[in-house]
Amino acid sequence: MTRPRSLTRWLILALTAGAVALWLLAASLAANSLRLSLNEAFDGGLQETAERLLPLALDGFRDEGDEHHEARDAHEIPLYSDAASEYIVYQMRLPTGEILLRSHDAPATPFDAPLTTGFADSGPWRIYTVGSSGHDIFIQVAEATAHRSQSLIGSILALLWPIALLIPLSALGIYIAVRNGLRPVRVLSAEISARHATNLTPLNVANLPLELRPIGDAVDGLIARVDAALEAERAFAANSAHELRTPIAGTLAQLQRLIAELEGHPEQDRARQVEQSLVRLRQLADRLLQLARADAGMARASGPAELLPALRVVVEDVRRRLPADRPLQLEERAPSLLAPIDIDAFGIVMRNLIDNALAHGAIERPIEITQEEHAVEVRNGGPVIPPPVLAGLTRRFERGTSRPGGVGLGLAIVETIMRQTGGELLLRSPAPGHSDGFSARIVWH
Amino acid sequence: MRILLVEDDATLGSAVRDHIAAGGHAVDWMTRLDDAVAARSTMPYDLVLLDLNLPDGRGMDFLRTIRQANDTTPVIILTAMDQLSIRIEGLNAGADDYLVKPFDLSELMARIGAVARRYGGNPNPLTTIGPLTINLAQRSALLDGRSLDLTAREWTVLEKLTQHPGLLVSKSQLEDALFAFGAEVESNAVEVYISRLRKKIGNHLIHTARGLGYRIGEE
Repeated sequence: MTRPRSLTRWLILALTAGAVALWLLAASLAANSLRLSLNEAFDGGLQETAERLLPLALDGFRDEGDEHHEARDAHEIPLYSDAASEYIVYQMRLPTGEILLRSHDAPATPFDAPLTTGFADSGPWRIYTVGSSGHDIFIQVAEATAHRSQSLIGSILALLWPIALLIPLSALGIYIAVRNGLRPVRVLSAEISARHATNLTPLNVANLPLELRPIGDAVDGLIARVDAALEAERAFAANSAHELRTPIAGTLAQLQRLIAELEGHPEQDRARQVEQSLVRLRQLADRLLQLARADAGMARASGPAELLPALRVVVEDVRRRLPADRPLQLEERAPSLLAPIDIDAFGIVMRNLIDNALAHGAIERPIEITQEEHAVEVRNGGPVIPPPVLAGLTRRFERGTSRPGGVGLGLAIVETIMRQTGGELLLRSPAPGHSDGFSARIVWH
Repeated sequence: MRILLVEDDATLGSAVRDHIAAGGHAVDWMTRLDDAVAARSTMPYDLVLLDLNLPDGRGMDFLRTIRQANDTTPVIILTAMDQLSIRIEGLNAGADDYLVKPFDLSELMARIGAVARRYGGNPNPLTTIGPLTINLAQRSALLDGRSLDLTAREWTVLEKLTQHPGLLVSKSQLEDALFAFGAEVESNAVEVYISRLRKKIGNHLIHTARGLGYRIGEE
């Protein structure tokens, strides 16, 4: 599975890359403009140097010729300082091309440029040529193109380094802007993530930006439809329970009347078998409808509720239908029982746990119910349940091994409800503090 | 006992009525709330069996109405709604017990007996009057340790008298406990059942107060 694309990351990278590209384009245009300007300035300087140097060189050359000085180093003009070097060199040449005079760093061979007024490029040199008025002597002033390149590179670098500094700063700015800009998206995402089967309240879209409103409204619409569907499912399960129980109750009651009226007749046994099947059908219908309601998310309450009175009602209700020799003990260890569970779901949980203990516990041992502030434990006697069997008891239609007759849904219903309410169902055998038996503990952390 | 059964389901209602009647009690069965209100206004009942969902209203409203009128008649709710919240609402509204459909008729009878005993001021199901020991929960009686074979009607008369040992129970009270609305009642029916009871438990335990009624006791 590929990792989903991060919109924040994509925006930061794209915006930073775009900004850098635009800056580089602007720098290129600026560098090109700078190059043209530098060439123009250097050419101007070269031309001015040549035009000023020509009369001086002519005078110097004539003076030298009049005094018949011996040439010191042929036609080379020495430097004033030994350590210095020349950016601009020149050669004074006759129309024949012969070099009459040259500066210290000028090449000893003539420049490969025509002796006509104007600019020329020759190898590593940019050359300006100007001749005397009689065109009997020419001076060629040259500048190394490398020097110009160095100047251009230096100028471009001076232009670029602030940009290099600005790139991380702009990336940081873009990051902050994108993070702030996408905050409503994160808020909306968190709001949507908080919605689940037991929290289908509308989103808080009042503060959403205009662009996200349609999303918020669409999600609210979807939530409303899901809520309506779940409510319809819950109502259907509750109504089904009612509609199904009444005809079963009528049939069972009529059958029990028939059994009473068949006293002493052999058909009574057959009627009792039908009664047992009907009772089993009643149990199965009850459990299936409880499961349907639990699956529809009926369990979670909006906040912790006081459940101790409800626990007492359930225990008292079970006690009334138990024979006197089957005691059911309730030990209250805390003044209250608080849990975020719907009271009807709690009733379903407790009835299932107690019915499970009654169905599978040892008849000669009491059912013990212990209440704490955030937990209830139901214990019964009986043989120790092996761990593999214990682990499978919360699977749907999984029956214990102790006794037939259960539907195999009770503990699955309890676990479904507990999971919905953020609680936990813990099954242990042997029961804590006993060498045998079974304990089912529901706890909310 | 005379019992008002308010249940709109014909199959269940007829079975419950027949079972209670077979136990010797008088049952008036109503399928609507307005009929139940009318019946209650004309006849005092020892117990009301009340369904919650009725064609013309909620049984819970009927229960609140009779409790607001300071009527302490025991009420057992019979409903197909198993929600704990509705159960608690019913108990808070003044119900004495609550049975979720489908229920066993034997359990219904046990609940009726338990509620009646609670209201009779004697939650103990065992009552001893001289040589006679009566177990109201098990609907059995022993005379000098020997089991008595009583019919349902005879048992109803004995139970009615035993609810208040030593106190007079009028003939009309006994008739109300024995016969439902519309039942044909012979003018000497009560005397017949009293006579049969005396033959089984002895003449010295049931006393006649001429023109007033009957009472049970050693003296």
